[in-house]
Amino acid sequence: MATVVRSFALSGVNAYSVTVETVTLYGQPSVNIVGMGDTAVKEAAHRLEASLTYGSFEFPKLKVVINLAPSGIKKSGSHFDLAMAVSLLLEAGQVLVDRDKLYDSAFIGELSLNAELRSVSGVLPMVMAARESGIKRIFIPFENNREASLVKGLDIYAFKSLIEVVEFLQGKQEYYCPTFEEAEKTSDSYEGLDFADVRGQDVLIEYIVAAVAGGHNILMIGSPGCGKSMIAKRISTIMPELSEEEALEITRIYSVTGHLRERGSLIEKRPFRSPHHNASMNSLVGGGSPVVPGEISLAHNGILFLDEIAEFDKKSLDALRQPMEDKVVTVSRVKSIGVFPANFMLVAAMNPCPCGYYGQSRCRCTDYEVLKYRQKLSGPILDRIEVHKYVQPVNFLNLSMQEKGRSSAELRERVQKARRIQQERFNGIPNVNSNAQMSEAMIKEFCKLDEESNKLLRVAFEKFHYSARTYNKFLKTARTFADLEESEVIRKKDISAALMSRDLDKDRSGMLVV
Amino acid sequence: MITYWLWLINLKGIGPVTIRKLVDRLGSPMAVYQASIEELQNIKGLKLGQIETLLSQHSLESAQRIEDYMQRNGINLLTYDDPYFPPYINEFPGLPAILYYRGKLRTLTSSIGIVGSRRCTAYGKEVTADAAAFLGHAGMTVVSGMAKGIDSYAHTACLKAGGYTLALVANGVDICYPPEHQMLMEEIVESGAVISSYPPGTRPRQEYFPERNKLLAAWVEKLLVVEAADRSGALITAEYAMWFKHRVYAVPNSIYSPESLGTNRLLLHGAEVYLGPDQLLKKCKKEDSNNSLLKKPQKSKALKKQRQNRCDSNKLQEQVILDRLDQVQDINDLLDVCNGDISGLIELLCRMELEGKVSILGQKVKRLSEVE
Repeated sequence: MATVVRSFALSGVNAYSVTVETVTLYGQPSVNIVGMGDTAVKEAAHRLEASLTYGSFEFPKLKVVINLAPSGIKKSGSHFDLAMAVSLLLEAGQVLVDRDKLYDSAFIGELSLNAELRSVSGVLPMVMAARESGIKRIFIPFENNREASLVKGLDIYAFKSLIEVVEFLQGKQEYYCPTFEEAEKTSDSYEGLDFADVRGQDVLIEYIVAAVAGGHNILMIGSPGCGKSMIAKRISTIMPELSEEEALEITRIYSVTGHLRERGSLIEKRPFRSPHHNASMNSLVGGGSPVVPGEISLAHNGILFLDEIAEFDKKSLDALRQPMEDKVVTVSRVKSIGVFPANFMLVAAMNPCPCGYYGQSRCRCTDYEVLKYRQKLSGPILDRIEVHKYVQPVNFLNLSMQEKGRSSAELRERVQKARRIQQERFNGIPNVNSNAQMSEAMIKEFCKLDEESNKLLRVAFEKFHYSARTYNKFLKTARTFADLEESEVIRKKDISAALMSRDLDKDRSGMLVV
Repeated sequence: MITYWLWLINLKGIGPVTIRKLVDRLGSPMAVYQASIEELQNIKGLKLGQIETLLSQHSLESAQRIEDYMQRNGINLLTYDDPYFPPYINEFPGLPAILYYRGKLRTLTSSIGIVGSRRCTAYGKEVTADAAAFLGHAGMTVVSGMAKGIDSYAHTACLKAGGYTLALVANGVDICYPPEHQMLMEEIVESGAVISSYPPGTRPRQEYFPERNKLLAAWVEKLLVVEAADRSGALITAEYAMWFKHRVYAVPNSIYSPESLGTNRLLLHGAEVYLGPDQLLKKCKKEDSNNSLLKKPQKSKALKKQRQNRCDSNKLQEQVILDRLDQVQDINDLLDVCNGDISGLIELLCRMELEGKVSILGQKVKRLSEVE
């Protein structure tokens, strides 16, 4: 009868249970691994042979068949090695363990040629899946211990080599829990980045605070070297602190993509991703075979910064539309579908015109050229960015430059306050937790204007010829500005602030074009 | 009839001068087509080769093909004997006798040309926009070349003022050059006309532009050169215009500005100094410019009125801001007026902008002088 040992396989950011069945048959000595494994799985045969021999076991001189069930799903990765090795040793009778005891155990890990256990990616989702499927004991490589320990509710056994695993299974060796230092919780989790470093941009920062508070996406338009990137890098420092659940979500994605292997601990700061503008569509939204998350998922619960957004491939950008709306991205392939979380705040930056110095005396771009340049950004994408602000280089000789700007901590305080108000407002409404996500009906309900504010809006619309669809955007941002100052109603000053948040549209009205 | 015109202009060796001569003598292009050898020999100055061409090349096939294409694309012919054809163009030899156009022609009113460099400054743009809008309002025809920069601003400002504008282009009227002016071209066709001496389908070429400039210079009564660099197309136009004895106005500007090298040189060589759009309107006499020396510039009057208004209102902060805005200010530098209250400042500036007192481009705040 075949020996059955349990392991796990990855599908997107989720894991599912895999049973590793091993049988030795009379026939020409060989190792056959079946169950739709990729090259890494097939090559496990050689790693098995080497590490068993190195570990002073005898590799059975029989025909070995290893099946990874369910056999109809493609599997990839080298983390089945440990489970295969254990099941083969059991099948060959070189290790004597009560097989019933293994029923609630699972094995994850890659073997080196001299029987050591190597860390693998995707441990967190696999351990989580293990807990859900009722596994009581899970065996993992030592280096993945910290990551696996994030999951409570099952026993984690972290070993450095196959021999240790076997000795423990046979009861020859006691397991003592390796202690690892808790990652120091530093208050300064953003490598010294702070908004206090940004001087002389107080008004712009006010809009960034509002964008973060209301979950609005933001586009910064400015000449080269005016500080767009500097500001973008600091936006994650004023976002509210991560909840445990959010941190786990992020860690899970990073675990699957292999970004965790080195650090192996919970990700406690909001991610900041800034892909270069030559990024392919698949690298942005996710793809490949097997399907892995892309940049927008790596930016989950954090910032996706697209510098020079006008230079991005139009197709790649348009692929962001659906994820921005749904906060998840579905990557469909013929044989598999990956659903990845993608709840990010989009921060984009671009030059104002082909030469980059629009509004300055050295610029010679005509209005038609400027408009054509800006049209590189498709309407649907611009439509999903509520705040467009110009960034202008600061005057270094100015006196106000000596003063420090407001610190990130101070700004974050305000953001958190506004977020709390929104949470109360949208309590009980599924999939809505910020002003930016309000539907039309909600805008009607939550963004009532008094006569005076209405008049102001009307005047502005007449003066700047805003399109009708910007109306709701003004209301949403005005709602956020009111929340920032903890005002129940939208006041005239909130509308004023919102009116100044659409520099591109306003600029369009001032251009001398037909 | 159009077929015969097209047949005539497509004949090799028959230029605008000959066309005018032939049609004048024989009455119509159809008559030219049907003319006998004797009739042709009777016309003075017709070369033997030309007579041979006129008699032998009697295929109307290609002319009909062009006519079909023109009909499908809304392209019309403007011939030199047409009442809409500017008569003074016929006075100068070498100018085209037949033009292609898309759009609407209207009875000739005095037309003013506005030309300038493609790479223009904000100053040039402002001058152009003011002049073109003024002329548009006044019902004059604004003629330009639909190039980038000054040309496009002239057309656009005139259209926006509800005026009538003509674009003389150096390519077929069915082709848009530069391509970003697609919308502009359609607008001009809608409420003006795009005119060219080149048959439909002709792509722009470097050597076509001087020809176009010559036509433009002949077409207009007065020519305003806004900004022109050294050796630019606008200068060529201005030179032709002077040669045709048309009035040329040049906009004065800094002698250090490369965009104004040409215009300043024009001033030296007899162009008139451009001080305001009303110069383009009236039958400008020299005395006018003398008078204007004594007149105060209009702006200061408006400014005074504005100052007065300001004193009436007791909004202290607003006044402080307006006073500070003698030059363009960064919005962040105005924060101290409101003691660092960002939302307060934004509210104030937003109101001032809607009231038309300031304009805000990104973070730059500019004071607007009151419009009368």
